Amino acid sequence: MLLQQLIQGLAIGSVYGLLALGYVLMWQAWAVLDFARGDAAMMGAFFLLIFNVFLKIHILLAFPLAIAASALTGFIIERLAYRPLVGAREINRLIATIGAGILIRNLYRVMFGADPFPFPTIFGEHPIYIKHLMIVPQNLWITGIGFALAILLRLFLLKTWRGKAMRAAAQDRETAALMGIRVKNSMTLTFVVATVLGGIAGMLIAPLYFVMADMGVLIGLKGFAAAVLGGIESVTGAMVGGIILGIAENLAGGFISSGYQTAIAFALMILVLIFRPSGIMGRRL
Amino acid sequence: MLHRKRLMGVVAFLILGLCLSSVTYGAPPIKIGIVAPLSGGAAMVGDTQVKGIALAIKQINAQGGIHGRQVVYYAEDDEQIPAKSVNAVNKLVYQQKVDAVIGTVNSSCTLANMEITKRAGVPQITPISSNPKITRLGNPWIFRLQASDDQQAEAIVNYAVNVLKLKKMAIMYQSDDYGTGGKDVIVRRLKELGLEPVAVEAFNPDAKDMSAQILKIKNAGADGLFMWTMYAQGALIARQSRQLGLKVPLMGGGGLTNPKLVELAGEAAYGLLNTQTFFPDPEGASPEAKAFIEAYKKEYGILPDSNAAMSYDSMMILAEAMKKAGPALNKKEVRDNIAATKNYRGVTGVITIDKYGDANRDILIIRVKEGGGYEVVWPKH
Repeated sequence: MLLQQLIQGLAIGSVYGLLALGYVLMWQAWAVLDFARGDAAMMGAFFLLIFNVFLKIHILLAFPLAIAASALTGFIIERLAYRPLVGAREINRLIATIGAGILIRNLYRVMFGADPFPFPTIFGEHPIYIKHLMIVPQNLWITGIGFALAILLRLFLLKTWRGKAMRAAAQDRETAALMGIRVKNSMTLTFVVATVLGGIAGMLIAPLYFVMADMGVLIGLKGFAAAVLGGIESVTGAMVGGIILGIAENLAGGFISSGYQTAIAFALMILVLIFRPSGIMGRRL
Repeated sequence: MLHRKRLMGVVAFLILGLCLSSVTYGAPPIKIGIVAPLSGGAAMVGDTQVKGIALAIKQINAQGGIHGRQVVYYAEDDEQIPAKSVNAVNKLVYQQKVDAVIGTVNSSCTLANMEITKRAGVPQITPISSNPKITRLGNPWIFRLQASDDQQAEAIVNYAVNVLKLKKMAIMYQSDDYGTGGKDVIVRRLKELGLEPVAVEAFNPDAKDMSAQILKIKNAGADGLFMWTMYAQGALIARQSRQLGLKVPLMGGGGLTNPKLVELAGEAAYGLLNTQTFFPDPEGASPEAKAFIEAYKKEYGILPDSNAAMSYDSMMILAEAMKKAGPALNKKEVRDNIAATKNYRGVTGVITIDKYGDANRDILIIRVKEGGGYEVVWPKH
């Protein structure tokens, strides 16, 4: 029972982690808490729905198409809603992200209606039993892809020139610009990467939780809680925060009370903010 | 010459107009106010409410109206927001001066707007708001045709215990008024039958991951699961239970009935049982229901849902009450006549209004068939 709950928590936790990565990236490059992250996940899920279900494109081709579409929309949104406010005060930029989220969500509701869409299972939903332990292949894939992406992102940021430039621009825009880094391009790239990561998170959960305009709201908030939990400055922390949150939620639901499941996630976040404001993996301030 | 001719023409036209208007306005029409969600998330439901009432009014007028007067309706949108619902009923009662109000869908809205009709002394019938509180606040002007959640929850528990012979049932409910209300009745009814639920699990109304709850229920060894929620969450629970190997009968209330349920949950929804008060199946239907289904289909080209049927019956019961009242249509008298409704053969079954203003009625249990679609499994014919 305990192990089973842990396994379930791991899968949903890696989805939270992917969204948390988006928050971390946006915080580093743009110095803004971007509350439209959940809606990026929703858009990703809808792109996959459009390509795979509506247009009946094979899933192996639909995936890259949906990722490309996510990147393109990320680029457009950055140009329309984020770029014009680069020099604005922090609070204004924060509000702009909330506004962008509301706009996107309602746009999708107008286009697709408020009802959820079913999504076919991609990875198989019939559980495999290892003695009493039940493993749903779908959850295995979600966890695997989540971790793989987090590792890839880390390698990209640490090892490639582009990644280094992104980090440099995040640390000190002016100095980075003096060193010949195109800061604005670098910020755009960060936004696109964050949107794609969110989009993939959305695609991964589409078969589990259906696709609808509102699907990003709660999951976006959980991603935020995961980012705060792990440390808003740390890529590894985001993933760790997501996993901890996912597991904590499932254990709370399984052993304490399912009525307080969501409350526990946010209580955990508040506790971390009080006792370790820089997050579990963050440096001490 | 020309001028005079034209003048004559104008005069003739005026006289004609006067005659016509005296025909139309000789007896002023009876005004019915409809309050319903006509925009927003529940617009579909509001739409079938208006359609059901409009069909009833059309048939009443075709048979000469009530006391020789035609019936007209005014529909106001409440967007499923209690404050807007109050405004809408205020407008109907004080501006349009309606003789009665029918509506609305959302229970919280009905609870808010029924205060207006109470103060003004206007009879009101809500076709489908199901919160038990509505008829238990001592407001004599409000009536309800839908079976309340109390009645529905009791019916499904009775079915589970008496027909399916289940012993170890678990409950999942969404943590709001609707869910907790249903859960409380299920727990109470099980207790009356000498049973104790093996697990009672809540979930957030917008929660997606139900695995913690489902695993707990599975571990408790449940042989049946009641879920008090709407169809979208119901589909999630169905799908995730099957995925996590919980293969017990799934049961619930009227909120689960929707073609979307099967579309979303697929095979996992097959066999799901829930309560319903009207079901558009012309074969198993009473003669009244059959006539209604056909008339509705002819009028709108679609099959009626339970909401349209409830709304239709609301208008018909109101019309009966008005016919029994004198031609002056004293509102108090109309109210008393609605309250006295007994064994009325409506399209949603035989209806008797009880002392609270609730319709005492038979409740159906319907089952999702393999491959989609519904069948009535209770009462057996």
